[in-house]
Amino acid sequence: MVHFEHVKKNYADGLCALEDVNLHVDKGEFVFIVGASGAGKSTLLKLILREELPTAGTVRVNNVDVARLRRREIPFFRRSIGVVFQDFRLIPHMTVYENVAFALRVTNAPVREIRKRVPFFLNLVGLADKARQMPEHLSGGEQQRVSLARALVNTPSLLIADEPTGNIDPAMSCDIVDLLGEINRCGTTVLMVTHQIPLVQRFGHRTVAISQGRVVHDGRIGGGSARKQS
Amino acid sequence: MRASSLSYLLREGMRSIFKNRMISLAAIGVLVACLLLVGASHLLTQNVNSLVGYLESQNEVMVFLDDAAKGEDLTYVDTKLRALDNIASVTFISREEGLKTWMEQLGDDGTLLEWLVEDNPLQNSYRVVLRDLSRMEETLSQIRNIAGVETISASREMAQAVTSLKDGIARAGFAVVVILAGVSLVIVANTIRLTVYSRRKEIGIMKYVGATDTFIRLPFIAEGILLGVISATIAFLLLWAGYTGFVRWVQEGSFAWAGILQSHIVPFSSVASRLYLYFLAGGVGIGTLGSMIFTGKYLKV
Ligand SMILES: Nc1ncnc2c1ncn2[C@@H]1O[C@H](COP(=O)(O)OP(=O)(O)OP(=O)(O)O)[C@@H](O)[C@H]1O
Ligand SMILES: [Mg+2]
Repeated sequence: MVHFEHVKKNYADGLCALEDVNLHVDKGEFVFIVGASGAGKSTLLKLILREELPTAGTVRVNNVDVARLRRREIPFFRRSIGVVFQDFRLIPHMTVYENVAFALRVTNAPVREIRKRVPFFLNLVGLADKARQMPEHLSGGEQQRVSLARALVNTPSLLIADEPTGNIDPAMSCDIVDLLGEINRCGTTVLMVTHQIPLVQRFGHRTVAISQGRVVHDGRIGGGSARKQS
Repeated sequence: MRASSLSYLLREGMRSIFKNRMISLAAIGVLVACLLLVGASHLLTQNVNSLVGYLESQNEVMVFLDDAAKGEDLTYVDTKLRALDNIASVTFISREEGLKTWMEQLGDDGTLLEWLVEDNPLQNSYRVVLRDLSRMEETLSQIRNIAGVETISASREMAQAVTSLKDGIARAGFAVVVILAGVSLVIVANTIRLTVYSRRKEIGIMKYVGATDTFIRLPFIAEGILLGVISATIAFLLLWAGYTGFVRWVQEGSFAWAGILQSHIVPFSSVASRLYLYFLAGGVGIGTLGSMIFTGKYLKV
C-alpha cells in the first residue's frame, strides 16, 4: 500500500528532513508513527499525499509512483487517501453535515449519493444528532470526529492522521483511536502520527519511530518482534 | 454541470461578496463609475454621430454642367452620377428651375430679373449629397471626370471639420474604453485576490479532499462574474435615469442650438438594449479575467 525506498527529503533551504527512509506498509495494517518534534513525521505524510516530492528515492502509494503523477492527476490520486489533522481543519461557515458533504461535492458526486453517505458516516462517528450544528459549537473530540467522517466519506483505502489526538483530552483520544481501529478492521489501512506514547502502548499496533529524519525503530513497542533498522 | 454545482457556485459567490462587503462595495463602486463613464461616452458618440449625420446631409455639392450638354448628354451624366457609390442623393436643377427659384427668393424684386428669361445665364446643375464626407476628394474627382461636367462647387472646410470631429470622437471613445477596462480589471483582480487570501485555508482543505483546480477556482470566478453583473445593472439604471433627465432638460431648454439638439438627440430606448448588453459583456468579461489573474498563484499543489 505505502512503500518508501531510500527516500531523502531536503527542503528548499537545504534542511534535511528525511534521510534514507525505507518503509513498507501493507494493505490493512495499522501503523503508529512516533518521534520528537521536527523529526520528519509530517514530512513523511506530505510525501504520501504528494504535497511534497522526494529529493531522492521513490514513494509509491497504491502502486502509484507519486513523482510520476501529472499535475491534473493529483486531485484524483488524493481522493483515494483520507486525511485528518491535529487542528481538524473544518470549514467554519458550514454545518457539520455540509463539511462532510463537501468532500463528496468536490468529486462531483450525485446528490442521491451525498444524501445516503453523509448520514451513514456521521452515524459511524457517533454524531448523527449534531448534523445541523456549526463546528464552533462542538467539543474538540466531536470536531475531530467530523473531520474523520469527512476523511472517510469517499471510502479511501488509506487513512492518514497527523496527531489527530493532539488537541483532545486523553479519554476522548482513546475513543478516537478506537474509532480508527474499527475503521481499520473494515479494511482501511491507517497511518497515525502521535506524540502520546501511552496511546501507542495501550493499542499495541506496529510502531515506526523516527529520529532526525531516520527510521530508528519499526515494530511493536513493548511487544516481541521489533524490526530494528540497520 | 449539475444544477447543485451551479447553486453551490452562486451561493459561494454571494456569500463571499457579502462577507467581504466593504471591499465588494468599493469594487462595485469603481466598476459602476467606469461603466458610467463608458456609457456616457457611448451616448455622447451616438449623439455626435446623429448631429454629424445631419450636418453631412446639409453639405451639398453643386455640379454645374457644360452649356453644350443637352438631352441625351444629361441622361448620361445622370446615370453616371447615380452609379457612384458614395452618393446619397442626386437632384437635377434645370437652368429654368434655377432662375425661378432665384426669382422667388428675391420676392417682389424678382420681377427685376424677368429680362433674363430670354437669355438665361444659369447653367443646368445637379445638387448632390455625399454619403461619407471623409471620401469627398475621391468622389469629387470621379464626378469631375464625367463628360459634360464643367465645374463643381463644394465646401471642403465643412467636410474636413466633420471628418476630423468623427475621427476624434471615435478615438477618444476607444481610449476611454481601454483605460477604464484596465482600471476595472485591476480593481476586480485585487478584490478577488483578497477573497482568495482570506479563504486560503479553505483552499488547502479543498486540495486535501481531492478538489480539482477548476473546482477550486470556479467560486472565485463566479464571484467576479457576479460583481460584474451587479455593477452592470446598477450602472445601466443610473445612466438610464441620468440620461432621461438630460433629454428632458434639452427638450424643455431654449438655449442656442436647442432646436437642432432637440430634433437630433438620441432617445435612450434606441440604445438601451445594446448598452446593457455591452455593460453585461464588459462586466462579465472583466469579472472572469480579473478573477483568473491571481487565483492561479494560490493553487500551487
Ligand atoms: N515547508 C518546509 N520548508 C522548510 N523546512 C520545513 C518545511 N516543513 C518542515 N520543515 C522542516 O523539516 C523538519 C521536519 O519537519 P516535520 O514537520 O516533518 O516534523 P514533525 O516530525 O512533523 O514535527 P512535529 O512533531 O513538530 O509536527 C523540521 O526541521 C522542519 O522545520
Ligand atoms: Mg508534524
